[in-house]
Amino acid sequence: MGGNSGNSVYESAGAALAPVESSAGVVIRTSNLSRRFGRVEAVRNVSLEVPGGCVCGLLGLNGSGKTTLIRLLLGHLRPSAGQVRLLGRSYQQDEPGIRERVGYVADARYLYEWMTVSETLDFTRAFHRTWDDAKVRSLIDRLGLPLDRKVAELSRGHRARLCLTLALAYNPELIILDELTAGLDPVVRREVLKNVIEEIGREGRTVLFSSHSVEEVERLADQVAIMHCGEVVVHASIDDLKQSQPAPMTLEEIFFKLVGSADGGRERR
Amino acid sequence: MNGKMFRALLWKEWRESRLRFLALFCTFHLPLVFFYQAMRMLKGRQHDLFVFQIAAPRNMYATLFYQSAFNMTIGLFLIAFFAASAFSGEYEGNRLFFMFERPVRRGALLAVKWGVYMFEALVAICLSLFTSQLLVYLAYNADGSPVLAIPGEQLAEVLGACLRGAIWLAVLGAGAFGSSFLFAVVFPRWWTGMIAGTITVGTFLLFMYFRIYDWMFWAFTHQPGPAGPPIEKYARLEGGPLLWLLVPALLCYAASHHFLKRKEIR
Repeated sequence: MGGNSGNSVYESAGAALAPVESSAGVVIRTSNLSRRFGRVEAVRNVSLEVPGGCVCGLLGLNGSGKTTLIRLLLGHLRPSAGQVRLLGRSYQQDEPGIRERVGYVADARYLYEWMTVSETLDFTRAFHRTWDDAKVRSLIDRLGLPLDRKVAELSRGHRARLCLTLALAYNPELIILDELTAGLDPVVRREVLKNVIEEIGREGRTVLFSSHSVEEVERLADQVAIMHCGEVVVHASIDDLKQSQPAPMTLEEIFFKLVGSADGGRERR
Repeated sequence: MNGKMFRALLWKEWRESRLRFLALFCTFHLPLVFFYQAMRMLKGRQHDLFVFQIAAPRNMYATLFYQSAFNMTIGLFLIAFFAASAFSGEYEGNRLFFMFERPVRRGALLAVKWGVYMFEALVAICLSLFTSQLLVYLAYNADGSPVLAIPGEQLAEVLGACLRGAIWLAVLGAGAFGSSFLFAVVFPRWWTGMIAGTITVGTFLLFMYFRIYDWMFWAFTHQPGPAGPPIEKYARLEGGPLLWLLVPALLCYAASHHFLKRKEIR
């Protein structure tokens, strides 16, 4: 499991790692997943297994393939090669079934600008059998969402909070967050992260989130998958990753060691 | 898809399209505005505006003529434009992402969107034949010149002609809508949909031109009797061609379904 460590730099950082253990079954499973856009291979041969109940941070530089990988996981893009299974199912088998059980917040907040916040919530509720009104009310209160305001008039922070509310409102088993806090000011970021942390405390909830921020991943995640040039170069629990280093290192130092030192000779294929 | 989802989707499509539908509906009455203005200018000058004027229900015939000519040409392009905007607008703004995240099949999303926009487009193009007649009647009466002294039998003939015209326009409009919508699904840019619409409308017009325009040609080329041009010649219903013209619309729907199901969101 974990990275496709064909490179010596990656091996030196991750070779001593034990496989990530699965406690509640594998929720995300990809095997040799690749996606090519013309000549560029945005995701290359990724085999990843994320067990149930864990919080996995997907860490990487801009253009490392995080968003493409997430879109492959969500079925928005078709793989050039390999397979994706979420919650034990493939999109070919049961796309609506997977969507019912997966919550997603995209990096760009795709919302209907002409709806009010209240209309957006009402509209979305119609599609989810497991919609939890009490939880939505609680999130609205905690996040301070202005119900009567049109989405077009919302600030970036409010949009992120609305998207998060929509993603959590139907108690999905798997939550995928793509750059949730990108572009948010520190106060909003803290608020949003606080809610994510509370949410992931619930039993059985699995979270995969992508981020540029090592600090964010270290704070939230149990596991980290580091992407570089379309590959998952390391996937391990954060503690194991730190312990595997010859000298005590922070996650940030490990990240830069992996990505920074590999940067020189590697280009996207 | 359950009833709740269906109602939510209907609500969304209606809210998104209602202003465009209103604009489309109003645009279909432009020929009437021009016609009415022309009649006002010529009023009292004993000007032989058109062959229709010598007939008793002349204003209704003339309205039917202008309205049909508009609907069959510019009107079908408007339908194509409307269909292209139905899908491409939502795709270009990436708002479809939001819908693709919901546990509802893409086919259901397409069916509701297709249904709502098609219904609105066909209502606009078909109803305009009737509403234009009604507006002519109201306008002339409001103007103090009740020229519409039309016997009941002839009124029924005019309305029957409108109905036949509406059936033809519905079938032709469905084809124009379908091809434009299909291209918008495959190439999500509004102008690609327009190109498809143009090709379809052009093809339809070449094929159907003489059928619906028989009456108009007759009016141009013959000296009408006291009853005016023989309105029974207008848009004669022929089951075979009508059914055949539905085939492209149905094929376009099936193809749109096929492509949307495989559509990637980048």
